[in-house]
Amino acid sequence: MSASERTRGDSLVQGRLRRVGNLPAVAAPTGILADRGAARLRARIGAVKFRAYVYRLPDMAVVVVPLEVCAAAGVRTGDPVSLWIEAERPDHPMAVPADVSDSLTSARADITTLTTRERRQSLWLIREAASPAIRASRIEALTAAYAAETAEADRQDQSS
Amino acid sequence: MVLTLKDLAELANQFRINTDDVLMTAMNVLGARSGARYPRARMLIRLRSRPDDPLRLGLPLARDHSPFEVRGDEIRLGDETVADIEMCQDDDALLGYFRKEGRVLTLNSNARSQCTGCIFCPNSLEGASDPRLSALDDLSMCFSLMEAEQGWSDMSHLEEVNLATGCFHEEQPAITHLQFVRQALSQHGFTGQIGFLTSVLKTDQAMERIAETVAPFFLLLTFECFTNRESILKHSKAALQPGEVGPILARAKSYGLDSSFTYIVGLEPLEIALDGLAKLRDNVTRFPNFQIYQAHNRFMERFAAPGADTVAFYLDARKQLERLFVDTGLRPDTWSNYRPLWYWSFADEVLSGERI
Repeated sequence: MSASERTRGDSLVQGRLRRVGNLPAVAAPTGILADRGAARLRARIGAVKFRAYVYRLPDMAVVVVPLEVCAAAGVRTGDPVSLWIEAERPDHPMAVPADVSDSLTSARADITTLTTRERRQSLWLIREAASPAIRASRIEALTAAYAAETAEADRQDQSS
Repeated sequence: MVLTLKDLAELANQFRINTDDVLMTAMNVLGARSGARYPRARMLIRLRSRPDDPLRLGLPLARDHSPFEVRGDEIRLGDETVADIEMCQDDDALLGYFRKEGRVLTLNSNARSQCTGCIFCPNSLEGASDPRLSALDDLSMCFSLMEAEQGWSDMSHLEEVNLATGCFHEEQPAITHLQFVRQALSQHGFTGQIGFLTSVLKTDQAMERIAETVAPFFLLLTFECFTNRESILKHSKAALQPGEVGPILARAKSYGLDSSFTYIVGLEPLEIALDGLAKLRDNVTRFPNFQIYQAHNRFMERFAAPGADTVAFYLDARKQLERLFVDTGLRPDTWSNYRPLWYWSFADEVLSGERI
């Protein structure tokens, strides 16, 4: 794959490989960080793919290029670099296990309105329960929490 | 929920605590409504009533029933603006950040974003912006990044580096990691204290090796609560038994290490913890890290102690903890805790010092 070939979701950052402290890096627009201080990226120089780290400095953002990537891609400090970057794929919304789904359904509890992060948090905590009893108690807590929320939403719908 | 500045002033009067501490406690307990895309923010704010004191906090932002609201660059309580926001970021797991005016580094050197399983912890709600580090070279690279960010030639002026990392589950990998961190930091000129939040360092052998190869060292035992531990905590942390905590802290102290613990106020009625906390008091060299339990959503609310959804619960806890620790001479740092019970005063004393 050549450096000029674009894949879906990539965007191109071009600049010279520079030293930031003693690290090889390429300057990038701060806009790629949005409101974060740092972020992980999927990156590619030519055919060399790597997991990169973009970091906010006072006046710019930099994408750090690991030394082994520099060696593999044959680039050195001062060389022009075409860096294709792609945001890490967003968290996958975890599937709801059958026992959780049964419990939610039986109580008319709804977690579909939760953000992906909130839903993942709840399901992770259920998945990581150390025993069946703790799993059951966490499922019960999740069900009770959102059964109450569903009931409240129903009440508000009826009163409006 | 309706809550006004007048209500907070009445609480302040009732508990004989300054109003700004009550306001900050309320904000931390109740979170805020907002239009943010993320459930929790890392913020730098200034209270309107204390414009000279910047504060950092991590605030739940998706609390639809909170009386606080984040609107633009302001935090409002009802019709009143109570604080101005100078910085607001997604509270994602980062490589590290600085406290105490840049003299203390909190370092996430082992993928904190991968550490999940404790009910009270917002980690699994946060995005992951921390790089995965596995070896010494990576750590050294990260320190180089931080030096570049700060415009420093090295890290020799830092007083402390505190590791808030993913769990190591066992003692040996934790010690090996600490040795790596000390070695990498030494290459960057750091000779100060390494602090470590952990529940897995326990034995004499561990303390001895740390005293020999890592010290100066501060053990911050992540204890969190006395009761219901299996339900609330991840398995590796729940394995630390309440009866072990005092002896572990004493052991660390006997090897010349600093020692203290974390405790989440709001997971259990404080009355049932006071006897246990009193037993730990003599084995700590630094004031314990007492944190307000922040429920970010209805699921987390289910694990709060009865009454722990009220500001009064935490003000009462504060008074009880003050009575327990006032004679020790130990006091909370003004810079080290993002959700503390104390801000500008402890008992009848003024708390001064760096706040960010």
